[in-house]
Amino acid sequence: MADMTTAPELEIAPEPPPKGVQVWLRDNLFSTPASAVMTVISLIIVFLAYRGLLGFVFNPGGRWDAVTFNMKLLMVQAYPSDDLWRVWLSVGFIFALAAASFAIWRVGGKTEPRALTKVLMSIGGALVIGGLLAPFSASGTITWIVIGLVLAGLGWLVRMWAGERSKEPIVPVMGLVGIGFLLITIAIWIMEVPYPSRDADGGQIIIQQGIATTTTIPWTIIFAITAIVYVLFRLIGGSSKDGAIRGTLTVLWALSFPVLLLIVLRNPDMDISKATTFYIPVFIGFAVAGWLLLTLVTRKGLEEFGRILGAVLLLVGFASFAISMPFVIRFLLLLLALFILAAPTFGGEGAANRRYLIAWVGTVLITTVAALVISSESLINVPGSFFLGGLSLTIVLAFTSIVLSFPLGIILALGRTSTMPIFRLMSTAYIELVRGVPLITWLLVAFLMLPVALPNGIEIGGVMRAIGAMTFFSAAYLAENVRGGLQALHSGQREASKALGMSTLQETVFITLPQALRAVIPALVGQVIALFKDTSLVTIVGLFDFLHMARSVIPAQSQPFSFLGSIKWTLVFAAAVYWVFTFTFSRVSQRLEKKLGVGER
Amino acid sequence: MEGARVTVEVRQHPKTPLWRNATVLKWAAQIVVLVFTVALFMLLASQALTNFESSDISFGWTWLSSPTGVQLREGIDIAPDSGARALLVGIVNTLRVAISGIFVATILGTLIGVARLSSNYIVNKIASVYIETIRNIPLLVQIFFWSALALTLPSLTAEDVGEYFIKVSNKGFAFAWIFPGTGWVPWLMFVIVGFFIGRYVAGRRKAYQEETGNRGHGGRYWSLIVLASAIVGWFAWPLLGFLEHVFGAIESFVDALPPVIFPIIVAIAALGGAVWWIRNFFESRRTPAGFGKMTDDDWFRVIFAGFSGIAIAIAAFVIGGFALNTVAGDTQSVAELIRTGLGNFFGWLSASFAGDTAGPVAAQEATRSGGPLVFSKPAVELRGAGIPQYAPTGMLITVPFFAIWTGVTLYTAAFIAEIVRGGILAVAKGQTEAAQSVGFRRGQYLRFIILPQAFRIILPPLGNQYLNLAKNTSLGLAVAYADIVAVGFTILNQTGQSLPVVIVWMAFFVTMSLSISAVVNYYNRKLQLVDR
Repeated sequence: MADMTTAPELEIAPEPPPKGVQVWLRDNLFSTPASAVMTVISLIIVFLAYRGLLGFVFNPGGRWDAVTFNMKLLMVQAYPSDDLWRVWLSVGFIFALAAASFAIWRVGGKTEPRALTKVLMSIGGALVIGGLLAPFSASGTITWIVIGLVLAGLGWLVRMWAGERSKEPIVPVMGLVGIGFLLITIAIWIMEVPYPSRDADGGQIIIQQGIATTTTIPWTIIFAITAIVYVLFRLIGGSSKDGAIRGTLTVLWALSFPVLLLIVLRNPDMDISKATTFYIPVFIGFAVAGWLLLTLVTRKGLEEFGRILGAVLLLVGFASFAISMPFVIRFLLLLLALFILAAPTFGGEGAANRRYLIAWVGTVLITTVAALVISSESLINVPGSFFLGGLSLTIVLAFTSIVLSFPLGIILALGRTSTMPIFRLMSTAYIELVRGVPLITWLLVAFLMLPVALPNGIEIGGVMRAIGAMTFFSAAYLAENVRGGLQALHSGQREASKALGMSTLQETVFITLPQALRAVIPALVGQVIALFKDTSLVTIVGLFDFLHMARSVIPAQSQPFSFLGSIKWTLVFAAAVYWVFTFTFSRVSQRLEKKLGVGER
Repeated sequence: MEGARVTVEVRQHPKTPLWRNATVLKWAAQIVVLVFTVALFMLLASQALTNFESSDISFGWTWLSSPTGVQLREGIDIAPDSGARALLVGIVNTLRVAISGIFVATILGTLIGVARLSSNYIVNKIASVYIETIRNIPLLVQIFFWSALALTLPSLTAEDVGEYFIKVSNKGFAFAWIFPGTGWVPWLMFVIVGFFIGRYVAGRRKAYQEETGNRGHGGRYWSLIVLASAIVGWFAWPLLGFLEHVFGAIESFVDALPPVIFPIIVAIAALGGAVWWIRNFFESRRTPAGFGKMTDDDWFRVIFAGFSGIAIAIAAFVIGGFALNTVAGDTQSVAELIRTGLGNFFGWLSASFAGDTAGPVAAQEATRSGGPLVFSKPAVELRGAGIPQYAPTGMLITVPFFAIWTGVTLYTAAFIAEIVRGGILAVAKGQTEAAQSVGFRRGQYLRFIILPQAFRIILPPLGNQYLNLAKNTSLGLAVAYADIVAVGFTILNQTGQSLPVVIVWMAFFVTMSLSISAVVNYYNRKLQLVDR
């Protein structure tokens, strides 16, 4: 009998699914009559909104000069112009560090040419339609249409070049980012944006076209350094020294924010005599004493003694608050007590012990340097307020609050899930009280009641109060998120660690927390984004942050240029900047989740 | 070997010494931390008191009953005669924004969330753009934006004087609305009674539908009964006039109570609660083999519960005895003030059944000759030095209210949209496929199959968003809307009483949070999947 399965006339390939633009239109836009009606209505809404947006942005009576003239005010408020190089240095350092990290950690990967084509053609199409809709002059319309067609053509070319491989990831993302930086650099050199400057005699204020060289030159240098650093680290990376480089970069990231803020931007007036007579002896004393004590308590048979010593030191440290002595000594006493109590868990023998001792010395060093720097006066003279303002103050507020609220939030979450009733009660009371009251109320409490509740002589500046209020507020929300992660943890982990004989501290630090935190990364990042947005509330209590500049300071200016009534434009600019930051955060968090495999076993 | 005796030695384990006993250490640590925290608070409080005394402000609650000279921009009483009345206006303003905002944000958020899942590309993208834009811009910026937008509307001129149905200007949006008139409380009682009768009838219709399978139309019966009772109540409300005397009698009874009754009630509740908790605890330790062993931990808990009950009972008497000044100038204790407040409430009820009071929205002057509901149109008139302003008729949405309400509602709607989308996506895809294979249309299977299942997943985060909305209304301070935070801030500036105002804020917000959480948790429990 003939083999039916191999008869050639039965081997017909199935029909390929219908492709093409008409099919896509039919399925996505006009699938049912109701859908067709909604498509028409939506298209009308989209065109009207786009036209309105373009009309607002390119309105000839628009006060965008309120934004461009006051860019320095918006970014760093009244930072002295002679010291602006410090700001550029900090920005450049962060960019270079980010470039090195991206290079070493191979961030970015590759993307498909198809995606690139889609982006280019949609931007090109939007520009063409915008050119047709917007109230431009004839030359403006033609410019827009030409640029739009060029972009769409580029997209088409990319597709042609990729050909068969348009669905494979072959386009390096970092290369696209580099091209983007290059285009931005070219744009800021040729863009015609009016800005005020003094004329040759230093007297009259004249308005010039084009961006000031005090802005274009630093940005060009920063972009160039970023590109060079990235390429350099890409070449170095992958060698045997990769681990050491990663470690160094991590340490640099951890130190960069405090060092840049406290030393570079704040420019403290450091007194060498104070350093040699007080801080260096304190450092040497505590480092040596701590080294000896820690070596002593990790010897066999002396663990009990170590715990008692640690508890006694803790009590002494708390009691020292009643005696007047320099704050740094009290703080170092408490740190020593904590290190002694944690020595059995982290210290012990051999390499771990050496690392622990080095960590102690490093901690003492950082504490004494920080104390020296903070207690010195700042040489940056900004009358009447913190030395930073504008967007830089917003970033400082957000970053400091987030970093400080993480340990507090974790402690609260552990307290809330604890078996000890009083800790549970206190943590729950704190969390429910702090979460139930809005942040603006806590800010008002910090600003109005704290000066009343503090003894005379202790003064906390406005920015410190804001950071304190936001830290306490954010810690409560973080505690709830971390609690979710703690409760999702399998109880078998706890039982296994008890069976192995781990102490509660060891189990918490090495087993419970890593798993719990990894499980709630989306919620944690959401909380970080929410806190960044909530920093805008400090404008109500009068701090000169970014929103305050945009809403109150700039629209009230009348000398030397009058910007009264420009609030709509400054607000739109502020909204756009906030949007860029938070959108970037949320995209980064999505990529981080995918990379860490959150939600997968 | 038979006959051999086996002796067993029982070795007594030495009890662990006290300083190594885990339970003792744990409780010692807890008590030390508790004492430390309490000491810290007392230190701060005493420091605050000394600072208060040195700056000549007496910290107390007298400002609640004395005039504070506060003028508010909007609310049920724009010139309150006491601090407590000003706070009441602030609370009502907050609730206005919160409750109306919750309704509209839920509806809008659900629509956008469903649109985000639409198969229509453009509708999908519009919803996506809305969510991404609104969620990523801080709420305060959005509120300022709406405020700036409303302030660019044209201002009122002398030609605008007259009556309108709708009038828009940079002083606000005014439109015609319905207000409570005379006898609205009796009329409302008719409607409420009709509501419960309708509920009962709808239940019977539903049982009929379950039994016989014919359509019971329970919903239609319910609506018709409520409508009928509203119409009947419109004309028949004076029939309830006898209740005036009933409530009057209750008022006199309350006024005659000794004020010490209220602390006694609180103390009995606290002590009773502690005793009930301790009894339950002991019952849970009882096993069929006899009374279970109580660990040290359990003893500590029992003692703590007992102490808390006694402490609350004592605190009730102490707080009840606090003396405050009233507006009339004499001194009353807190318990007496509670009694007076309760008596006033019953007095107001009694007066409303006599047809003497109009609705609580007294700012808009409704004509008294109308029935329980009065239709009022806005108008523009010249006031003061010939400045055109809105007359106090009709409903006025001021610019601050518009700014805070629009900002808060749109912002929360974006978050609700994401929650709804997540909930719908969490329902198994098989449900959609099965519904489609049986022949449901998209709108039908969304309504009958997907959304009911998604609701269980949506409810907890939805409750969270409601809480956030209620708390975000506090940003009205930034646009001069007289919500509770703004009113408290004004009082604080006028009288310098920062700590009492902060305590009032915390009490209000914690109460509101607990109430909203309680309602959401109730529905959450009802929707819980019942496990074996």
